[in-house]
Amino acid sequence: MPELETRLRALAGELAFPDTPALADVVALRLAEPTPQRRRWALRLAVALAVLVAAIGATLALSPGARSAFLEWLGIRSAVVVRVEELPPVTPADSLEFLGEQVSLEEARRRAGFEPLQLEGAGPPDAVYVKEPGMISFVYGRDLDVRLILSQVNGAIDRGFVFKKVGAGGTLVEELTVDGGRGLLLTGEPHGFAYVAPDGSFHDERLYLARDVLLWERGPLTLRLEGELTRDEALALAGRVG
Amino acid sequence: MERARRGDGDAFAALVRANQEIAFRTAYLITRNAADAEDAAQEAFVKAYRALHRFRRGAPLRPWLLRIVANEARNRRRSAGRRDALALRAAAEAPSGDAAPSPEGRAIAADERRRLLSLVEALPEDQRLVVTCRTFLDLSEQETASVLGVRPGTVKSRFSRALDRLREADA
Repeated sequence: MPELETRLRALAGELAFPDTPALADVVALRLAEPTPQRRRWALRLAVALAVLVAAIGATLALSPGARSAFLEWLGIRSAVVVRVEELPPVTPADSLEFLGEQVSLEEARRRAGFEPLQLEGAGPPDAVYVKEPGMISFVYGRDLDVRLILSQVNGAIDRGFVFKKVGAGGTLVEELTVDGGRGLLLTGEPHGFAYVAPDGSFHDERLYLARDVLLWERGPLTLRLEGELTRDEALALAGRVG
Repeated sequence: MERARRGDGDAFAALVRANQEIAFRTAYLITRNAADAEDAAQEAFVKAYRALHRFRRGAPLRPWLLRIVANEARNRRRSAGRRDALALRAAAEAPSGDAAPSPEGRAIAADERRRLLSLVEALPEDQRLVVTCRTFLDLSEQETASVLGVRPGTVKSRFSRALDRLREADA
């Protein structure tokens, strides 16, 4: 070990850290309190997940990663929902890194090549992510307190595609109209997602958390909204994206 | 861990006790305020318990827990308040034992420690945090990455740059 690093590590035992408080009892008391009721979405939404919405390719070619038979698919411009007989175990990812790189809004615009729509009344997002070739995600909240994620992709992108995989049983897929455009609402059981990258490689992604999802088209964009939302809340929020 | 995940309060209390020191010290290095660090660590354990169902089976607990702690600490650091500087324990100022140096030697050793600590404290925050996490808390690269919210490769390069800077200042 380099000499300097050795000296620094030796210093560790000589630091005057404040005494560590005993936290177990007070944490137990806190946990015994009733869980606060969830407020309206704008105040406190539950943990949410952003899932990639990318471009749809000309052919839906299920790779070996899609381990069960294709049963049904529903598509809106840049996203495909695939219903399969058996969904692999849905495991939360441990970070939002799969949304791409966290950048400034200006940098996201530059890299994605389009002007993202804003969620009116929500204020600036807590984090902005961009993922090649052109998806922008607005994250509201942080880590375990992530409340809402709005992802948008320019529908003109035609390399690769994403499909959401839903189990044959529990997940409901409803086709609806969102602000005059086509939409899909996925509710119920957790759902996974996977995508085929522009180079043709198949990626079966872990999930941060699977929650209800609204996918819809708006002009040239495909949008995806995820949070713990009722159907009406999701539609109301979608109406405020502009 | 499995018992805690199933809602066993005693098991989670044991988990808190086993990790409270590293949680509190991590929060303290970020907030530099003992009261804020205690609040952050406490809140982090509460949130971790409520999110245990999302914790991946078989994954190491500490990186996940420390990320929650660090986020809570950063939230509190934004508020105004007194910030402590790291200091040496009084005992470290005067080592004892059979091989104890002369009074002059002890003074020099203590001065060197204080000087090294002041050099660490003078680093830019991103480098200071990586140095203090890696050496003062002995966190792994993965754990440090979780605390800082960056990739392990970034921890490695940032740590290397920080050591270079310290060597230069120490010369």
